Amino acid sequence: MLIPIEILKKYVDINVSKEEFVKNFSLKSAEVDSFKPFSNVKGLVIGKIVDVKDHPDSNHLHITSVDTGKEVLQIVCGAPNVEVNKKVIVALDGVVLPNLTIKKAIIRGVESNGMNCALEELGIDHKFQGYDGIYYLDDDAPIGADPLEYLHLNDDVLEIELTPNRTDLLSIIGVAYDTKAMLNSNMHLEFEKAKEVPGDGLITVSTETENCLRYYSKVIKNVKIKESPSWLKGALMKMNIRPINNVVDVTNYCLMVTGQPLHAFDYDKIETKNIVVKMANDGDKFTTLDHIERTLTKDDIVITDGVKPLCLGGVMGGLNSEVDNNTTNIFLESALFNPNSIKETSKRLGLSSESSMRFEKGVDPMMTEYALNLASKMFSELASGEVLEGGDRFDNYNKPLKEVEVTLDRINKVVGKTYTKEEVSRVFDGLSFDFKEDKGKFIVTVPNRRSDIEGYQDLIEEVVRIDGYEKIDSTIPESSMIGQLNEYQKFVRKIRHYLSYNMNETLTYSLTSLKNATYFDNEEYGLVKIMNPLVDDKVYMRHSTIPSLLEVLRYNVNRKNENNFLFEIGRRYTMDSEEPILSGVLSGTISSTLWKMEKEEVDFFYLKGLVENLFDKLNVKNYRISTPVSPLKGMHPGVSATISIGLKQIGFLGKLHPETIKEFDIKDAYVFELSLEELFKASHPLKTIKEISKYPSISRDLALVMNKDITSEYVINEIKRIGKRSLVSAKVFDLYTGDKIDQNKKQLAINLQFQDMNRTLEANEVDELISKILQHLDSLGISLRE
Amino acid sequence: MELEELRKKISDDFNDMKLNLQTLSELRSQYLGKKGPINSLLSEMKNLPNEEKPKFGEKVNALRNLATKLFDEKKQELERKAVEEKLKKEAVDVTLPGKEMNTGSIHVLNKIVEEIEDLFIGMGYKVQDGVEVEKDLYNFQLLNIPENHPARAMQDTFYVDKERLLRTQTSAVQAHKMLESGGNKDIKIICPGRTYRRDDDDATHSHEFTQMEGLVVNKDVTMADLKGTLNIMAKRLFGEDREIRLRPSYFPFTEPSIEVDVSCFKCHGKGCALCKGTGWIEILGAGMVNNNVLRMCGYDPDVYQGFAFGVGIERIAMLKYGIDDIRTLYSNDLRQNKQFK
Repeated sequence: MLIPIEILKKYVDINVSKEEFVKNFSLKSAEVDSFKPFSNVKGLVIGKIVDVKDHPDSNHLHITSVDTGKEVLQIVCGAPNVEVNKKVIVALDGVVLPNLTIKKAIIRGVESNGMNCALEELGIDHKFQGYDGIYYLDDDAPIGADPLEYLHLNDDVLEIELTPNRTDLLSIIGVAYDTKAMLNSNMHLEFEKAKEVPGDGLITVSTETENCLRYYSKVIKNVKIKESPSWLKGALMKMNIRPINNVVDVTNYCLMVTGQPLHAFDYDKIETKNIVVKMANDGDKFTTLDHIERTLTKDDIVITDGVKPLCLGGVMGGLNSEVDNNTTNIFLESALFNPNSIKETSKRLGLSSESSMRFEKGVDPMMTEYALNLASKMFSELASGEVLEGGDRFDNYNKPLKEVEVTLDRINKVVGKTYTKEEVSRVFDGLSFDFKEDKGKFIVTVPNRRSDIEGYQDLIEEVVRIDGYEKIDSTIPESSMIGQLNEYQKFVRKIRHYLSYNMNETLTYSLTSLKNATYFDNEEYGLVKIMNPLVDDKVYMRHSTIPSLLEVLRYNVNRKNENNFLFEIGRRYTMDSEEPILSGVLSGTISSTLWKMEKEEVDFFYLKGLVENLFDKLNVKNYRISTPVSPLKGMHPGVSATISIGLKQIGFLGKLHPETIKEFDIKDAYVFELSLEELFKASHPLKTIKEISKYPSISRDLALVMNKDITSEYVINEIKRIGKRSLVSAKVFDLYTGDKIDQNKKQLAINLQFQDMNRTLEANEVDELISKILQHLDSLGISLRE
Repeated sequence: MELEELRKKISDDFNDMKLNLQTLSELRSQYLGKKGPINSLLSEMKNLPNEEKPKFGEKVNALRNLATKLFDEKKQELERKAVEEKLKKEAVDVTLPGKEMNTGSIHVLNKIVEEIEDLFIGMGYKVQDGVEVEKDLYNFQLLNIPENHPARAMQDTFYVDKERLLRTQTSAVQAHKMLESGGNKDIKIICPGRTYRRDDDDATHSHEFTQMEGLVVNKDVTMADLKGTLNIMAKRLFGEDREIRLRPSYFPFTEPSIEVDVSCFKCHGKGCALCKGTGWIEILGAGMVNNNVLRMCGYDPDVYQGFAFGVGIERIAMLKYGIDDIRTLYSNDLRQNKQFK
């Protein structure tokens, strides 16, 4: 909403500085988007073109002589509409326009001492001028004066952003009410009505629909259609409305001032002299003012002459009753329509106007008569119209005013401040609310314009905002509640902080394409699909975060960052659950400090070590990393594994399938994904410590040779089975395949640690155990290296 | 005289600069060994008259002590030299870089979420999680946004079906929590999480973003409490010398509703490009829980009252760290991510 301060001041006194006013407005009323002069070009003068000659060296330039009061200047002018005896806006040497600075110059050999301006050159939208070339002022414009002042265009404009509840601020008068309350000043709503003349020719009005709540009318005769005076044109421009002619401009102006939409019909085009408001028939054709033929339905309100529609009620007038340059008599409508009906019509036809927008949100019924009288008065003053006495009307509007109660105690309890009765009364008085107060209880009669006020909380808001939020203390809630993260939240944080030691956390979008959403799914289920997506690649809620991480990998590799260690804590979305997941992507070189060691690349065992290390840190035991029963989608079949706890698979890890790598246009990468809830369930925080044996341990290394397809997990399990309690650890520390052994065989080096809690183990006991172990392994085809 | 000569020879030999640990050890055997001159002097002693024996013995012992002392000193010196040489050989160029290790990082949005969580945990709040695929009931209806309410147009929504949508605000968690609390328990929670709006992505809009909701419900929490709480948050996020101001606003689920501005931390209120010359920067929306919401969620508004606030984490991150395009928070360029250790 744009509010020209000059117009606002007609309705309310602003007794503070501009800065103070803007500050008050934003702190007490609505968000201020801007406050600035409509145009602030300095040093312009009104001039008169006293002579026009063709430029000798150009077929479109002219040489004008412009009288600026002090002197007659020679100005070379390229406008196509240059004409002698016209009043123009002259920018003299040195004037700074939004897009150029004027300087004396020689244009094709002819001296030019300034510029005759179009409005656009002053930073004003071209639509307001309505024609090409230089802008012409009215003949009464005083030569030598400031044209912006003459046009009322150097006035400040307040632009405010409205929240949907404050429909009252959609009018200058509404803004004036709030201004009065916040500045504690006075309003000026009264005006002297137009002198009315007796006469024939009133038009009768009636309705056949309940969707028209009220219809007031006036007839104004013998109007002279012409341009509006510059103050009115200026006022409209400042409110972003294009001036058309005095009649249309007056209705638009009154709409902006009062918030009440008005419609002016060409009286002589209403053949029956009888207005009937009704609902249209399905399929009725009707051409609105914008020259578009609309097909109507029985849900559209139409203003008819009893036979045919003349106006789409509350939305837009019809071409068949339009006020044009030949109009001499006006039929003026000020009405109230059912907001829902207007909303539906406007939405269905995709036709929104200043009028429909206000009717949709609700118009103040107090303004029906006021706006009708204001417009009539302006018609008589600006178009020499004769306002006929009376005017037919009907009124089915009978909604009583709301009464809302609030106690001083309640206000103070909610706000946490001790307002006095006087302070609260001052606010309600300021807002021009009628109220009664008895023993601290306020009964407020809410004016129609404030349809947003429904309960006591709304009244409390009025008190705090007008009295000032800055007057409230800063305290914090008193309570004995304990703040903390729950165990699961702590668990997730621990993971984030642990991994972030040497991995980089990412956050990526959950919405993705079908392909990425299910890229690593072996079976699809419960996919969440958006009904109204914006773009094709954001239609489904993902089942895995890995595809997004692969995109992050590609993004970074393309920017010369080859080594990526990424993780993300996200969710797997299905129609009935949102399962938190942790995933990671590793690619590139871990370390290339060659003076320290060999270059270390990410591989399966680095990945596995990382995951196992995390499990250890989280006290997750009894997990199993094993060859998948069937190949994992998207993964290298020989270098990937499932991670399970008990019988439940909780995740997977491994190298990407070459096809996946190709599709994502990346290099080799290793990935993992884990269900956080399952991991949390399997995590057993330390309760009591495990006792450390006081007795020495005995260490033995075995080099075992076996067929390649025997897994190390199997060998370790078999060793542990025989080793029993005194075998406290069995670890593979080397793997050998190569020339020195059979090509179908591999050699594992395994370290065994023996220890007893209660005594020192004897070497011969350990030897006995070892030979038992070797005997058992031998029976499985696993032998000690010769 | 023989003794005196020997003494001089011992002195000279053990002070020979060319000695190394090997030759020193040989020298020791040479003088102090069984067949050495000292031992042979002692064996000669039996031939001396008894009265000369003690004096002679004393002199020979002095010689032995001298040899031993010189040997020990020389040995220490040579060993120290050997260590010094070894250390010299082991010396490295300490200016070479250390072993390359990737420095990890936490995503800036999570960093801020954790920071705010910690602040509020310290003030007695619990952290409440919620679902992102939410029912219309919780995201809108129970928050006083019935169908056809103009506020629905304020936030265009991704729908999954007639009943379900991607939550447009973490306020949806409010309704769950209140219903769950049965209308008679105090509530003090914050709810961080991912939210969605049907917006085209550009420098300031993201179809996915992060919000943090705060909710306090009890019998006497006030607007002053809300103001004080937000004041603490603003100072924690933007610096101790920040101020806040409250402006009237509108949200269907709170009444009164406010927008909260923080004094510009760049120009300290003088007015600059960041605060568009106003000296203030809008950071969040808040208000007292609307009675309709309390009622629908099982609380009697005559007895209970509450405050709620919602803060956009992306906005905080962008303001705090001078990030000018919201999309960079989701593109994860590691050159940016790695700055948040």
